[in-house]
Amino acid sequence: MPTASIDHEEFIQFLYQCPVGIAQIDPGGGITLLNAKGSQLLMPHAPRALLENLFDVLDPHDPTLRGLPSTFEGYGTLCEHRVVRVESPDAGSPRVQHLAFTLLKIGPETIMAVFEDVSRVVAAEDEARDLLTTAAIESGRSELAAEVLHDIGNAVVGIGTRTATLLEDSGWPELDQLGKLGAFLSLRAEELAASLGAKKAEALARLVGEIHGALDDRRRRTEESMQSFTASVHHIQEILNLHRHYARQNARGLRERIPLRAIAEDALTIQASALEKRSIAIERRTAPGLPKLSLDRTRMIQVLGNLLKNACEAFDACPAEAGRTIVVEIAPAPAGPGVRMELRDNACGFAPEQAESFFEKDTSTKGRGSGLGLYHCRKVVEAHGGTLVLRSDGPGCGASSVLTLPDTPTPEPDHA
Amino acid sequence: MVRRMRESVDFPTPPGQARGAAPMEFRDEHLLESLTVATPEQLDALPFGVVRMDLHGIVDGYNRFESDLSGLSAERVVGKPFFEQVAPCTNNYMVAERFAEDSLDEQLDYVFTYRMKPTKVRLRLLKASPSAEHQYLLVEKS
Repeated sequence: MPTASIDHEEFIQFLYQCPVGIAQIDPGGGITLLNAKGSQLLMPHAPRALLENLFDVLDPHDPTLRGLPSTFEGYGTLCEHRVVRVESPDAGSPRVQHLAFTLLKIGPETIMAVFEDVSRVVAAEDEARDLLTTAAIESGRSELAAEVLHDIGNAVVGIGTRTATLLEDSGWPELDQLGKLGAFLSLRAEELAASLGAKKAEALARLVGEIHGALDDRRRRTEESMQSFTASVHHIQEILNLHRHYARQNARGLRERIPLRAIAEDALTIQASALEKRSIAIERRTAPGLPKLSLDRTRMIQVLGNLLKNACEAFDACPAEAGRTIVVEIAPAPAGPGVRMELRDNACGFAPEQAESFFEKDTSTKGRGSGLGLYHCRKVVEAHGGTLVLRSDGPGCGASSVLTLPDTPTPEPDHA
Repeated sequence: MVRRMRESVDFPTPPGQARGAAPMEFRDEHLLESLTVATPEQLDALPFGVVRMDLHGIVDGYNRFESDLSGLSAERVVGKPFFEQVAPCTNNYMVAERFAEDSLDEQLDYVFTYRMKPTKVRLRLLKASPSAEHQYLLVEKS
């Protein structure tokens, strides 16, 4: 029985614990030496637990690697940090990894393969690319939105002006004249009866009176509609102004010190119709003396708007009941300077273990809004140094969105 | 050169069983019960590798067969985290992550890298319960 010398043992352990995979292969991919990390990385992707040939393992994912040795002359690097996306063959729960391979020809029939798991790096790069794409899209969207909002705003101003003019000119002289005619006929009833006959005179006076009453009723209803229409136009202008304000802010991407309550109120205004349509009451609970926070106003209105929208839509999955309420509670942060905001609804709720799944990217769950939205909401909040969690005690128990933001100094703006 | 081992070893009768010779084999249905009461000498006599760990994966038994295959002495590996420092080739969802299960008796084909040589092995993963004192990784050369 061989007894390993200490040096030999240390060398083996050194290779066992090497944090990257190392394999010695022949030009056909046959594995002659392999360290422990190499086995750890390759085994999950080895069909039928066979790990005799590196290219056999990698062929389904990148068949071009196999051809590299035959086209390479001399010694040196066949490929460097070639990232291969590998998926385990377990159909039940496929696992994806990104392995980066460097192949070095070190002898006529000997190639050293060095490889490592770069899945996290690839994920981080994907995320950074997504963020850049999102930022570019949002920037373009903001510019477009600002232009569209400007045009709509002009049109709405025209409607508002015309509506105001109509209200001011709402005198109905013909109706007044008809009223006077009715009064005249009543006053001259006896004379009319003498000339037309009593029945005809009475019928004429009654007809004029009924026409006058009907027209007066129509005038009253028209004026009420006009007033309601004017109020709606004002509301549209208010929302347009808010959006235009945020669209401008978005283009600048600055942070400013503002009270979270102010953004919450703007979000409530924007979501007013969604709340009203579902007969949801808003209960505000704001602690006094809360600090202003350094916030990206545009991003935060998107976050609060999204959370409110989700809370509203949560009621759609519930039977229509009286007492639909969303409590908006803003209080000091429980730990350290900052603000905690909770949106608490009494809608259908969810199983507590589901909470984190709503934040997964590309996940959408009916009843709690868009997963993509919440994924980005959390990213925005985390970029502010805060946290965002969803909570529920279970189906039928309502749900809460809890947002905590620290009070941090406003960063200096970047000037290009 | 690796010493030739017997194919099976007489083993103490597990509690609750009739007394008598109880040969311990890799595929023995009651192997876990036998391992639990085995002495280090008995483990060293087995014709397959035995790694005994606590539930955190810290090695507290490493039999001779496994030591001969890996080239690592028991003294060097006892007290170390098995999946991270002794046999990182097992530190994936196929082996290490399986031990997160409450109880386990699973066999699978695998490739170890004893002295850098890819070596086909058959693994058996054993764990009685979340409150058990030990869990075991058994290695049989294919």
